Amino acid sequence: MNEIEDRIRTGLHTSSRDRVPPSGWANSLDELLGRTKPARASRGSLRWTVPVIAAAATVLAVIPIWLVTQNRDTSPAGPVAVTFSVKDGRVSLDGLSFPVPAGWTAIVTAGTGPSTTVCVSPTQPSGAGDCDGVTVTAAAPTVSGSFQPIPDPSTHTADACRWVMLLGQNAVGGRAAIQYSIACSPNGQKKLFWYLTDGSLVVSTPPAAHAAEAAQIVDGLDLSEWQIQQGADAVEVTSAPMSSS
Amino acid sequence: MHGVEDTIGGRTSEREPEQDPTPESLFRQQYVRLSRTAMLLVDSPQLAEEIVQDAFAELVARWDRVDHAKAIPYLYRSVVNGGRASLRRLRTARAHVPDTPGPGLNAESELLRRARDEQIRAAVMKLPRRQRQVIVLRFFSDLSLSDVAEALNIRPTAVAVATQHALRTLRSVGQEFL
Repeated sequence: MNEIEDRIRTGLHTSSRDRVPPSGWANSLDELLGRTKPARASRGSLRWTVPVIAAAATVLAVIPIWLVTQNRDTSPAGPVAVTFSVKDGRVSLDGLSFPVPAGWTAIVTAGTGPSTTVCVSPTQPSGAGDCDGVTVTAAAPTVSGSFQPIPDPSTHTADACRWVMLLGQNAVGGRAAIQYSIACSPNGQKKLFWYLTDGSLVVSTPPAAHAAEAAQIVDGLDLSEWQIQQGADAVEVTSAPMSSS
Repeated sequence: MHGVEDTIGGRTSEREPEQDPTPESLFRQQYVRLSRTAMLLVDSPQLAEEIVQDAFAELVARWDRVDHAKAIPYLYRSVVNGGRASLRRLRTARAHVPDTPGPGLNAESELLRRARDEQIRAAVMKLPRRQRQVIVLRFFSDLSLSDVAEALNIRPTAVAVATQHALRTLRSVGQEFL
């Protein structure tokens, strides 16, 4: 050991001799580990202060941008304006086309939201409430070409009307569909439903009425120009078709 | 808290590692010296206290995975890493403020000796980080060359080179007190 190293050693030891931790010496390892010191808290807060401030600044910066974007954007994911017309005995709805039975009229009864409802009725529809005819509910296309599936009526019917009977799995307008009836008792009056399995279209009748006209509309559906393309199946058929009674 | 200091105050016992140490025995042997090492490395008593606490907490948590023969360098490595991270976070190298001489240091010679020791300490504190680490670990913590290398995660030759550079620097700045 040379002299300078010895001087450094002595100097460091002597100058450190009276230095004591702010909390004093711990008497045991348990005491040391059990201590919660202000210094520890301040270091912990230092550790997280910068990330927290950065995160808050990011959120504060992003929120106005998001708000501006939301205001500027004319709902690219939302439905576009409905194009509806009745011409030459056929309804045209966003490119979807179906026949109107002779002497019947068709109006849009619900045109906002993710779907459009058309009431095809032998009487002048009131435009509100239940449709006294055949109801055609079509998903509204969005700018991006997607759509929000219409809930399957068989799984969204009232608890008292759970008598659902699968009548067939036949294509409608060239797209996969199921046909079923719903009644509120085993021998109750049945509503008929045609439901595209991607949830894009539902055709339904009132209880025990207008089955023939509904079939005429379904048979005459033309989906070739419809703005909504075939989507993924929204229902899975788990029972075999039964004969209608 | 003189009990702990008295127990581990002897240099001989601190330098001889136990055959089969436990966290508690390492605490008794190394706590005070490790704390003062941390104070030399970070120059902040509060931070040093916390770093030592973290070092022992980490040692206890990983005791099953730590090579017990290298537990002491492991502790010093934790302190070095803790000090380095803290300094990096704080981005400051605080100027050393010498302690106020305590009561009872009336003799002029004692004051002079004390002042000289403080000058040495201050000179060490002003060394570049790596040089400061090797000086503190070798001449204050009394770690062997290999243990310093282990603690700093560098090769022993790098420790020797850094030590020589540090001594050269100290000689140049401390002619009047070295």
